[in-house]
Amino acid sequence: MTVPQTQNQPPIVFNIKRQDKPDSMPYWQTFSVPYRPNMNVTSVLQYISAYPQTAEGEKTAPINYDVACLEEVCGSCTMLINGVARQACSALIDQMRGEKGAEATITIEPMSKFPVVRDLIVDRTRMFENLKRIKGWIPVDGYYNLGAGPKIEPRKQDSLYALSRCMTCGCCLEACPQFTLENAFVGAQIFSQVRYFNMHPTGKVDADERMEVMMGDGGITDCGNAQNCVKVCPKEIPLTESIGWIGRKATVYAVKEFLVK
Amino acid sequence: MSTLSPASPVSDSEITTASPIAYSEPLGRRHFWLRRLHSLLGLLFGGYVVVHLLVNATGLWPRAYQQNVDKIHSLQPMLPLIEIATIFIPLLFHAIYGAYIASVGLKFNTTKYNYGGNVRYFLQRITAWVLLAFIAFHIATLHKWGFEAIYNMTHIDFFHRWGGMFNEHNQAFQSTVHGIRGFFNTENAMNPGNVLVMAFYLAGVWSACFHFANGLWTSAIAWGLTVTARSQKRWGDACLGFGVVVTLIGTMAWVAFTVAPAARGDVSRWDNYTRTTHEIQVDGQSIDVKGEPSNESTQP
Ligand code: HEM
Ligand code: HEM
Ligand code: SF4
Ligand code: SF4
Ligand code: FES
Repeated sequence: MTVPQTQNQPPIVFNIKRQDKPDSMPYWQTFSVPYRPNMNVTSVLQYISAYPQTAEGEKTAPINYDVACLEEVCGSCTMLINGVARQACSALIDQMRGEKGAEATITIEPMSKFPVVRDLIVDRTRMFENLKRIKGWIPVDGYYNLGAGPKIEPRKQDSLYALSRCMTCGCCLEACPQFTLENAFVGAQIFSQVRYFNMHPTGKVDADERMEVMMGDGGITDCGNAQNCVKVCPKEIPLTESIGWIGRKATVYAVKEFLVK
Repeated sequence: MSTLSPASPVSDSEITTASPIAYSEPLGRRHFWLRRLHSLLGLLFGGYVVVHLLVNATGLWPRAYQQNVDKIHSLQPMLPLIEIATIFIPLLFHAIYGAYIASVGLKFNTTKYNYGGNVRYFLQRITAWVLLAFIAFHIATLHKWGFEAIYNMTHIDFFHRWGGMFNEHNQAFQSTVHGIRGFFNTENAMNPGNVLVMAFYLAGVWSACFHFANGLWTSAIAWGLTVTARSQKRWGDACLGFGVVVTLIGTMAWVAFTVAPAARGDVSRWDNYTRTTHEIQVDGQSIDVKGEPSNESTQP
């Protein structure tokens, strides 16, 4: 195996938005990192942690960032890379250089729709709180063994599997024009999870409670159908289909509520 | 480059203060119902706009236009009721609630995420503001319930000068041309003010066509008629086709009252082409006209 030639590759220049505390002002720092093949943004951040020095040669604090699975399944390393929400661990430097040229500066920012904790770490409590509100689980707890769950036909399994891949990364919320730091909109991630649990034969028992949240403040009515969510979802979850699905269920639920309840 | 801050450890308390989310319920379930009503009334009003533009497109044939206007006004005395129930109330509700939706709790980001859907989302809201301004101006100046109504209450000349420009009684064509092509100056149509009004009309017509066609598409998702990506695409293509047709009709209507030969010629030539039983004045005498009159004799 030949080791790829790296000497004549220019270094990677990073413009990173930093913030020391939740309530302090953000500021930018530039870093220059020697190129190695097959780097991703996380490995660049690791390099900066090892050599915390700006491009001007000033010593600085290592950059704080979240990372866990390193294979785009946990969602924790989500940040804005060149302005767009995506995972640092699957953002490949070679690919970005291919698109923008080797000299292009790469900008890194924390997500803008969640409160910043420090540097690139954001607080995504809102998503988990919303999952609690919609009872994002299958109720199987009991005092005795409930036995095997109901069988699910393969085609439905496929649909459910697609929805189950959500890793709560928040890309869909970051890209959504209707989702802001200030409002109560739950966003596409929750719509899709409501569909996931309401489609499930056991999860269904809580379907009405989930629909109550969907039809309340910040629910399905606040979606403006910009459909950015489905474009940016790294797990390619059919979010806009979930939105149509919730819309249909809400229509039925509303009619039922009006006539029957 | 900003000043450098040294690393300071972040304590647990600092982390937990980051996002205490309070879920206020200012509207709650009401928001759902209001929003569905907004959608429904938008569709209803869209239906009206299509008919309205069809009628106005007949302005390319001024005689037919007058006859259509007469047909509509033959609904008197029920007309005000019909207008209020099917036009003004839906419009008012849709416009007010739409202005709320388009101004509260959203953040455009088309520069970063320039997908087609996001651009349409953006345009839906921009055209909403254009339409708000356009329809207000349009009704204020043309309709008898606009400035003319204010004049009747206040007798301030300004409102008479700029209001109630449309006159359905035998002068439908002439008065509509006056209200659009000759808004500021009937003698010189290329007066800058006139050109501005004509441009505003084109913007209003095109905005309405886009807003309605796109609204047809989004409402199908909101109500859950189109669920799969394929059905959304298919319905989107249908809405695009519909939008193109309505835009053509709307543009014909605009041409009819701005640059069409009839609008550029002697517009009074088309007065008195009426089919219904309206009274018209001939030689100072009021007569009932039935059927299609030939008014060649009254031409100057
Ligand atoms: C007068 C000013 C108007 C304002 C402020 C306004 C505002 C809005 C807004 C903000 C939306 C998007 C709602 C959403 O997707 O969440 C919308 C949708 C819609 N508008 Fe309007 N609009 C106006 C006039 C009109 C007109 C003139 C028409 C008919 C030609 C119309 C028909 C519709 C329809 C059919 C929808 C789709 C509703 C849905 O997505 O469920 N609107 N309007
Ligand atoms: C070039 C295009 C247009 C022409 C020539 C035109 C002409 C007219 C005229 C002559 C009237 C007065 C009718 C009367 O008083 O009985 C009127 C009223 C009205 N127009 Fe238009 N219009 C045009 C475009 C539009 C558009 C695009 C909209 C909406 C988006 C619109 C909405 C209305 C409304 C709401 C009224 C008042 C209700 C009524 O009287 O029917 N118009 N229009
Ligand atoms: S369709 Fe648009 S408005 Fe709705 S959740 Fe997705 S990005 Fe947000
Ligand atoms: S739906 Fe997709 S983009 Fe949204 S949180 Fe889940 S994985 Fe991330
Ligand atoms: S580290 Fe888990 S998605 Fe990147």
